[in-house]
Amino acid sequence: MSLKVNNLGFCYRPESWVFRNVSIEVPKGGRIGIYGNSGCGKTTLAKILASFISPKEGEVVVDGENQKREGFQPVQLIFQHPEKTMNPLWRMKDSLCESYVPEKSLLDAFGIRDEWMERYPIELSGGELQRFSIVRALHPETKYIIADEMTTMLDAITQASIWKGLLEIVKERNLGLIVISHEMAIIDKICDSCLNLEDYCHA
Amino acid sequence: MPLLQVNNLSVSFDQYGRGLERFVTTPIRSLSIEIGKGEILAVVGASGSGKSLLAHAIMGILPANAIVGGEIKFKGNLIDERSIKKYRGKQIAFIPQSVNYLDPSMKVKNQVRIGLPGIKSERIEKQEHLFEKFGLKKSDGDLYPFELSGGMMRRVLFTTSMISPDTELVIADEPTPGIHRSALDLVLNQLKTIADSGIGVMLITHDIISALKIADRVSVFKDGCTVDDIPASFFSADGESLENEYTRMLWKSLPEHSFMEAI
Repeated sequence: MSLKVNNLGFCYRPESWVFRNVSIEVPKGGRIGIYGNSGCGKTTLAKILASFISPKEGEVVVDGENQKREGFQPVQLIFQHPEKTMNPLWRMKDSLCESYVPEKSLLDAFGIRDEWMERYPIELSGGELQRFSIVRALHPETKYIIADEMTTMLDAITQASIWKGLLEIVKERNLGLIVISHEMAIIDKICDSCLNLEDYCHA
Repeated sequence: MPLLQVNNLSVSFDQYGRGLERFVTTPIRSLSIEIGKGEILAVVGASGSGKSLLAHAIMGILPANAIVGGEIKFKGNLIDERSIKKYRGKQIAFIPQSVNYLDPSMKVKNQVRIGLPGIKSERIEKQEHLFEKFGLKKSDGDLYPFELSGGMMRRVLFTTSMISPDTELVIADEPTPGIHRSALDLVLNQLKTIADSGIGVMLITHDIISALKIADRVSVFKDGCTVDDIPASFFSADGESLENEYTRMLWKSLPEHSFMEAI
């Protein structure tokens, strides 16, 4: 059981590869860190893994099956900018419960308050919004989580408490985790192994 | 006389609830800071503690329903939404936080050239020089914002503010998130060079470790109040010399320190 990537390549323009020949395997319950200079394709890779976009070559295999384009995606992506992932015209409770209704205990683990449910995204801070996008990604059928610069916009205390909450659930459910970050200190503390995506650039 | 002085600043928003019901929220209650010539002040604190609002209040770009109290003085002169106009983009430069401030329909090289002085050929030369200085390729200038990565957009935003020869104060609102190590050092060195030439710098950031490399003093905000104002040298190893409990917690919860064990 693993999230496996074989010889993945992506380009926006023909033959101008962002990265090529990327092969990674994240076992169930494993934690891998990905870093590299800005512009080397970290977010693009994350979007391919979560099947928001299709690779130009190579394949993504989730627990032995080829990635499917429809239905629930067992690989869920948490974006860097939560304000860009919420419908601005929906109240938070509607964004949160769009795909499933989370249990009270999960909301408590991330300190989500009842009073925030009736608000619109613009009425919450970045840290508060990011808690919603994490809980939203923790659907019961989720098997792998990609955290793309999940806490760069947050202060150290909020950052530590959000990671603490997420890691407890990752451990409890034995989820696979990919951490994309520039902060090596975070990758060091959380991940079993890491890779530099630049090694696959301009191949 | 300090370059910039903010005393007891408060910012409230007058909002409408259901129907005609009105209510007032006060995200900033009492902020006070001071920046001298050539000094770098790092402003750190919780998300939502009013750091960006402070910058917006100084620049006079708060939304229309904002009510501002307290005083902001630039070189001893009180400034408000009207008088700031003569300083804005000239003596006081601002680097906004959100990458949404870039125009999505314009090539980035042209956005940078707008604010530069001189005739067209000088502006082109200056812009290309700035790009080179911040590790951006000449061809990156032909891209639109959506084609740039997060870290590249940050650096483009940063170049848009490096403008006037008579700048005396630079306010940088989170110029570094999503930037990799070597580009981060370019930005920090640039701010340091700016300060060494006598310009005051206010650096709003979450990245305390990076800020400490260049800052002289650190102001800590929480829930719209200044809770601490101390020399950068007080931040050391285990934070023993940090008297304020919140400041110590902020320091200890960094991933370089105790991280999750501090919570």
